[in-house]
Amino acid sequence: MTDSATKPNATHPTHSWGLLAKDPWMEIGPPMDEETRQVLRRYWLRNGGDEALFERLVPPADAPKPKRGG
Amino acid sequence: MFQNANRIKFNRPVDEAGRAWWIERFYGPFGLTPEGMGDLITKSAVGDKLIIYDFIDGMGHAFRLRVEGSLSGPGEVWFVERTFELSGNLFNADEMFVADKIRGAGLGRRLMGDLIEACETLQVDRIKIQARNIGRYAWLRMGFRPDMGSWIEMRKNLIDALLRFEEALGRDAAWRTAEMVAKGGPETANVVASLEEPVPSRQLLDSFMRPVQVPLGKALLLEWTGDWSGEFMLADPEMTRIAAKYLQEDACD
Repeated sequence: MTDSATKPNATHPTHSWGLLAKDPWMEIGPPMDEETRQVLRRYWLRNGGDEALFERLVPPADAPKPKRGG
Repeated sequence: MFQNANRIKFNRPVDEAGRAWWIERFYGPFGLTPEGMGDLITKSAVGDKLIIYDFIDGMGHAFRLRVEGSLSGPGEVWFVERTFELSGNLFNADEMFVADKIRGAGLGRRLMGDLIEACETLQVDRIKIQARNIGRYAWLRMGFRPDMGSWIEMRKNLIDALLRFEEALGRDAAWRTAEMVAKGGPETANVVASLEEPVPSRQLLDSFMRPVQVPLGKALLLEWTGDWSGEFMLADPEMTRIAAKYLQEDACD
């Protein structure tokens, strides 16, 4: 017997964190330097995104890190 | 050049058309033998290698190879499978495996970096991938992008997920981010991967069974969207710049 809560869901696989499960904040990929951030900002603004919200959600590398309490 | 030897094996014999095409496309201009190709696309991996060609198709202008390697210790094995298709002037990065024992040391990204460098040398335009597991997030950070079909599916899931994060992000921020995603093309996925606001995970729990706070971008791509297919365009200066940084960083490891 299956129900919707336990049925495997192909669209949303159950666990994809891999090595990141130990530290979800571990950096993967190139450093988020200002040049890369400006490229992403251009995409964001081109889609009608709000500049202040971008600053909040994609903070500069030297900005205080968001609180990660859990 | 086309015979089985210690380090190289051909699952199917290479016919005259295959030999002629290889010499014209790779050996003449670049001095690359089939064995040299295997070494080129895995050049940063040291240790023993076995290069296995599934086929070299001179009529279809394509080949598929698998390079298996091992580092110094027992169980430290890896392999990559790549298909080259001249019709689309692209490499398919079909498979990559790095044993648990040596995972996390940057070998996977170095092998992808080797493929990007090989594409530059061979004047290949694109690398196609299937992004699975952690790669759903990691390849976006490296500059890969979903194709349009994958993006349409991903976008739908991202919007749905963002609206569920009203409490964590605030209603206004959640809706405005969802709107931005709704208007965007595949490059928006690169932005999503970089979103850092802490949100509760629906898969990672702490010892008290409370959701762990995780970065929004990782939550969206690892928990709320599925596998995707996409590509890396070498002609795109922004993508190659991001990837170059990744490789530079690796060189310092």
